[in-house]
Amino acid sequence: MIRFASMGATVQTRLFGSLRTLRPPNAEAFPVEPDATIEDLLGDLRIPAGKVHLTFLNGVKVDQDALVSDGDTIGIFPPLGGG
Amino acid sequence: MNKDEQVILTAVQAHCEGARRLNGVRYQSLSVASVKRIAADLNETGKRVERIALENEIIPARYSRNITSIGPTDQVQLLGSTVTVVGIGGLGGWLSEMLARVGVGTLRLIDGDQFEESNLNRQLFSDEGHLALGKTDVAVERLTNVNSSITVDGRSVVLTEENGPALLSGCDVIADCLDSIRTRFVLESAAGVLGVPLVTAAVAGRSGQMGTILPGDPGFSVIYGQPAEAPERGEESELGNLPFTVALLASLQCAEIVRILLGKPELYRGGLLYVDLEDGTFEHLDLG
Repeated sequence: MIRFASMGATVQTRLFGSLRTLRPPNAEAFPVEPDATIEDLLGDLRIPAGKVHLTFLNGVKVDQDALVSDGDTIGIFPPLGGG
Repeated sequence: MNKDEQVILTAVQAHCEGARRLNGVRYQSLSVASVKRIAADLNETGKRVERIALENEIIPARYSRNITSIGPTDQVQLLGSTVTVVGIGGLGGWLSEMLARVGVGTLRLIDGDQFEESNLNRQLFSDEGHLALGKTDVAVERLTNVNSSITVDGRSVVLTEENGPALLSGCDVIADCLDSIRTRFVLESAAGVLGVPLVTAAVAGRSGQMGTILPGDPGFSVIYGQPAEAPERGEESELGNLPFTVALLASLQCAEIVRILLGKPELYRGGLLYVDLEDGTFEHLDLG
């Protein structure tokens, strides 16, 4: 799909566990700046740094310096340890 | 077939009786009472009696609802398998119950804790009459009552770097049902040294994850970070643990363990199945 710069890039953000309470109303189309990284996105979502353990870009684990692009799906997971 | 196996088979053939599957197909069945009687009369294990029956197309009644999905040959394979379950709490209780019922022949259960009231919401082997009793002691009694043909070996100890290799040696699969992230690294290290597949699960509230780590895989360092920096607890310290989440994740672990024992490819190696029952998420994540 062709997107025009004026439309602005957006990503789908998926927050799980206790991060769910931080999910923004526009989680399905959250605006990102050009060349934004996952770390930038976490800042824009106001997620405390220690809360995030795993970040996935389109289903594949990535580090927080990974670049995000228009149309990406970003999964943000806290650590689970209970048994 | 050697002479004593022939003696067992003769006894099995004398005790078996005709039965019908739910679809109407006839088969030869061996009751639980017959297995026990033959084992007692011949001073044999129930497991061996059942194996010889299965190898001759006589189905122990306790596995009659397994057998169309698992098959006699694979049921024999399960009876000859050993699984070690580390942590007999929420996940480990449900998992070891299912492993006993599906017919895994030897279970080793490791947990140094006793049952307490906060376990009652989710831990299968906890009840009001078992508070303050050792988890593995209660589990051994329960599972032996569920399936007297199998071997259930309880070890009421806490897993450490020192005792890990000895506790875990000689099994086909290890199940991680721990509640401590740091101890998971100890377990992973021992499993790697021993060359045994590790099937892990963890839960918090309505969320859970499970995956399979084979020796040499990056494993927990990808999931939790480096051991020295990993937290002791995860989200469960805020969200608690719910019974339906632990039972579900234990089921997923059990299905993967049975696959591995039967020589089928792992479904969850190199990834995590992440489940969130808050919104119905079942997502297979690639750990890269």
